[in-house]
Amino acid sequence: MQAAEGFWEKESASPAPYYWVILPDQKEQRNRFALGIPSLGSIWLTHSLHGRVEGLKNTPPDRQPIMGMVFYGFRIMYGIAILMFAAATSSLWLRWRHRLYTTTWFLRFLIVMTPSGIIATLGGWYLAETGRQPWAIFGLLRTIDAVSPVPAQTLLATLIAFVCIYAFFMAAFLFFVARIIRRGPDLALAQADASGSLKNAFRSHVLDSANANAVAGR
Amino acid sequence: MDLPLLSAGFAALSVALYVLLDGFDLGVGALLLLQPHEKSRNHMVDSITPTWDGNETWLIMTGVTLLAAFPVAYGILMPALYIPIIAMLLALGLRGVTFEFRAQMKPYRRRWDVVFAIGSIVAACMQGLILGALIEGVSIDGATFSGSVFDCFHPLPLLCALCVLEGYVVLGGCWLHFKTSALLHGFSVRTLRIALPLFLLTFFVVAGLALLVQPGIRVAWQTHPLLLGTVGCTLLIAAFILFNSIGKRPDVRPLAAGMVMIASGIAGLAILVFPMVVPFRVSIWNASSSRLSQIFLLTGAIVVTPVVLGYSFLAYWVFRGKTPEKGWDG
Repeated sequence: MQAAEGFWEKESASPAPYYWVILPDQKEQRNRFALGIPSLGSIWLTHSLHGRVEGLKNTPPDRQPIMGMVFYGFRIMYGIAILMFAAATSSLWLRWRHRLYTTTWFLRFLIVMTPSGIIATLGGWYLAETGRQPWAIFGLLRTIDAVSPVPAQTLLATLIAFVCIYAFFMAAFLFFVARIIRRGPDLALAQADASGSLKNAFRSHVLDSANANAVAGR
Repeated sequence: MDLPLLSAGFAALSVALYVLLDGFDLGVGALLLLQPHEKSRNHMVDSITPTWDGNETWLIMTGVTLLAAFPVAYGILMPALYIPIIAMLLALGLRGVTFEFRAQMKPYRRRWDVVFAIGSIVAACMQGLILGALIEGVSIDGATFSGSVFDCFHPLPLLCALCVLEGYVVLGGCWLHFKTSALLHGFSVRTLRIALPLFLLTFFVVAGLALLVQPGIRVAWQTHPLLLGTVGCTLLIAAFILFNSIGKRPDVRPLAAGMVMIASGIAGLAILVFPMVVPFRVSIWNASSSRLSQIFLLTGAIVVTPVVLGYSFLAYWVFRGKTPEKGWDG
């Protein structure tokens, strides 16, 4: 957490700001540039008006993660969480006012928010994975000591294969989604023709025909 | 109590169940390539849709057991078998996604079916490659892998890949023989008549080659001649029954015989390899984790196994009998 809040000194100034943008310099252990909301850091992080926040210098430099990645991973995750919460509360408000389906600005906002879940997840993932460096298991095993004997070229090749296959999935998915969107909401079937869903199989006439087949097969 | 032995037993059970269950649906997937009629292909996919993902649970069980109970073996085998394992997982992923896309994109179904078949074939071949590499023996130095990641592309593993693919196709054919009617039933009969002899031929070549390459197998035959002889005979008798029941009633007999055939193959392998967890290199006890990890794993296994068996059984029960030709959407 020392890296996630963007402070370098062992203890921040009092009251501490809440940084949104920083330009950290890992070598000199300081921020070249920092922009934040004054006092909010003390209130959010220490729950008092004048609290001081711990900085990354509490950890020896050879055991520090890279501040920028941790900081922005956390900001992306947390920032999107705030936006999501805003979307949820405003939707409740609009629903209460019976304007949920007619408020254009809100619907446009929702379109923009579509990928927010995955982006926030990625941000959190970067926070966790870069924040625990240089440890693979905190305090016990350094990442550099846990490297597998598989040659780097092989790993690179399989990583490329992995990216290619998942890019293919993504392309197919987007193609498919685009087609549905182009078709528009009015033409969508309640139950797609062949949806891959097995719910239908539980309907009595399907089960009956299957059982009839089974009897005939004997 | 001998906990590592219990864990090894659980791992062996997972592998066996995985091969027997996922084997036939990978086989059906591979057979899609040979089926020119889209209707029949839909029917084939419908026959495995309810159960394929449940079947693959056992692969995950095997991996988890290996990691939790035999970390040393996991540490040796993962790098040694890195290429086939990654390729297998990617192929299984490809296949899993195709299940959904082929249903949704009717105009492109033919192409998705090709992807589906390729995914199935690659997954099956990679499993064969893994098996072959294990039989040949991975190079180790102490408790770490010391060979090359390309060691698994030797002749024996490559032949093994072909053998496993053919074995799965046989199982897939048996499954279609059991679950389908009319045209597709005829297709399964033709498939089995060709695939079974091919499988047996490859199997004997692999067995002969393995005997030459791996001295551990000769030793095992000298220690348990009777046991291995019995298992071998069971395999042959099952194959014989399978071949004679193709196209005849009851439709389930080829599948039953096929399962017995493959199961005795697995049992034979288990006897050959026992008590090693990295075959012919590291024993179960030398590779096992602490007692506490073993207890943790086995507790989980005791809880989870009945659940998985339960839902698998439920799926097979609900979708028992012949797969309706109109599919499950009917």
